[in-house]
Amino acid sequence: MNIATRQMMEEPAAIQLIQKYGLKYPDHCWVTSAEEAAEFAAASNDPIVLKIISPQVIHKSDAGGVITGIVGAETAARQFREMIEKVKRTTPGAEIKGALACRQAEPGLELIIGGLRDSVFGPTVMFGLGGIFTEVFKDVTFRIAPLDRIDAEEMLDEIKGRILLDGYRGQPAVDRNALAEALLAVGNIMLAEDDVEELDLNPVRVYPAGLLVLDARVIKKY
Amino acid sequence: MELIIEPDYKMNTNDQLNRIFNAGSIAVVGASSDQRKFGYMTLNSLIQGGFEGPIYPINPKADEVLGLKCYPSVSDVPGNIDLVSVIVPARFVPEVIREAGAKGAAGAVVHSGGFSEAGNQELEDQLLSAARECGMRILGPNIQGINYIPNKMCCMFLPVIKTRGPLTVITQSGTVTTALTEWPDQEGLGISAAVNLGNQMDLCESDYLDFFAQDPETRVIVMYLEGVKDGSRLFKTLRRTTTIKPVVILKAGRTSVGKRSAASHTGSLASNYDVFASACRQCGAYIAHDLEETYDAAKALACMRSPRGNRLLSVSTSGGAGILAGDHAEQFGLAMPLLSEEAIKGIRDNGAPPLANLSNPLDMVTLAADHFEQVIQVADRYDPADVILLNLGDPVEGAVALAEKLSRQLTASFAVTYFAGGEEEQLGQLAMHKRGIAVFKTPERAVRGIGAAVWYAAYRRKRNLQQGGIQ
Repeated sequence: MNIATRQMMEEPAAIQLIQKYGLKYPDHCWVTSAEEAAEFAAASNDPIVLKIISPQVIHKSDAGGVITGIVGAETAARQFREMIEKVKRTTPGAEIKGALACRQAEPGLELIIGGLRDSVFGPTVMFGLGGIFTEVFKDVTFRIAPLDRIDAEEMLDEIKGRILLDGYRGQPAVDRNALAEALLAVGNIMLAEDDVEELDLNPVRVYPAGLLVLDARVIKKY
Repeated sequence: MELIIEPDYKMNTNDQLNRIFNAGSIAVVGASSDQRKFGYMTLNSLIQGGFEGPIYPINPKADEVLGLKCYPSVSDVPGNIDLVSVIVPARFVPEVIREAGAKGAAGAVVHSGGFSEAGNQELEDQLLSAARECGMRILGPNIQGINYIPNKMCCMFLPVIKTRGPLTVITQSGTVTTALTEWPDQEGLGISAAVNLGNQMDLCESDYLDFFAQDPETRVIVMYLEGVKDGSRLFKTLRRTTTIKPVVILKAGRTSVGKRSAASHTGSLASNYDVFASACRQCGAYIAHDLEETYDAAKALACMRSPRGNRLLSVSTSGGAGILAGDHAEQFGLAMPLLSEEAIKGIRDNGAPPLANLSNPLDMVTLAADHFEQVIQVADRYDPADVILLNLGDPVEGAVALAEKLSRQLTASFAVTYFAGGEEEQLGQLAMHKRGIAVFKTPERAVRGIGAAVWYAAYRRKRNLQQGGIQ
């Protein structure tokens, strides 16, 4: 299947979908103006993040469509305007539908959880460590849906970087239970949502208690 | 015998395969006296293999082939035929099938090539409809053949393997079949069956898995796969099979990258091989990475008692053998915990050689078999490990009797490395394999094989499966 017969869901819709299956995403709001961005920042106790919403922008960071660490209403309004200008320059002709304003999550271990349809086995779940671990070392593992609790636990134990999950160099161990639940949830999405072709939760940030999905990309069939 | 045409042929696959592998009579269509031809080699294999039922060579141009009376066609054979081995050119095969069907044959091993693999789908469709018409099953086409040792039926142009043992080898490659059956033959371990898959026009890998899962002679199924037609069926079949006995899979195509779009990270990371390997692990099939590991894993799974956990104790004649085992243990999921104070004291007070290094690896610094027996028996009482590796790196007199005693008496699972022991070692390995003991040629290979047995035991334990094919 090529790009022409696929469609990437707008992130707010993708977030709604994954939340339906029990996955957690930081507080967020779809803002369409600098004023709305300022309002969201003013109401937030934490710094916020702005992410562009545009069907033409596939790689948001590369296009200048992600700004992190925003504090205060004025900064948020200014950053919103600057981001829109930047994206217009990097992606000429892009239809800009506003931005997703999100509460910025605490630092934590970053992971990738994915879903795909394998041509041989059907709906499949992927798990790996985020960043260079996936990009350079391709340290990922798969299971065919439906997967059970034991399968999910085995995925966590199967990656080469598993030692990082147990806590490394003074870091606390992460919430394996929450991770296993998230893997089961993605399996359920791939089984129940026939029109979901591929899914990236990347990154997922996992803490000693709980986890948060920080970016959800869902590719649907037309 | 009256021919029964079963409309729902799938219902009966196991029964049909049972008749095929336990055939009492075989016709070899295309039998030849020309030693260079497959028609000669296949007939010769059946004779050399010691097949005990009637063999009917079929060739209109000969009266006798390899000392057997030859018939012009299958229809001319006087009695019933259970199985036909077909080596004639592709275009004649559908007619041969019809004739064999009329003779009550349950199946045909179609060695001949020239069907879908050569772009001739139409002829393959004709072959399938001929088989369906008369309720026959097709093995192949385009295969080296099958070998079922309990029936002394080597219906395969090569190799002629007769050593009876615990492995069943199912492959998509003739050369791989040869390697994976010759090794256990040469080492005295033996096989129960070998099956080539070929085009899998009718019977496929899942059918054979289901059959050999039930075969009492087969303790481990070894597969070499290049591609799979029905993945979800294989998935379900594997999951079922591994509740009964272990399966080891070598999948070709590790470096080829699946053709997926890069619209998602997940899509770009999911190579066909990785998804396949993960799916097999999920079903409890052990994924090997090369031919040697495939064989070592199969041997360990066939011979070793199911390990209770992943702790390994190496007891060696030399420091080097133990260190090499230790170097590879972690990589294959094994732990080598130190001996307890209690165990060290127990061993020291009960006949440990004076220079022995009572650690893990435990270095005996002796070649005396009775010392090994004493120390390992005592150590075993302290539950130092789930697997004890007798790690012999020199010729040890009485090694076979030692290994046999330990394999019977220890509460821990047991395996042997035997290397750098010259002729004594060669003969010792053969004798140990004949007694069903897992012996490996190097400590690394031993540890890798043990790792497979530990992995499968853990799969079963986590899912609360009772003891299956491995004792």
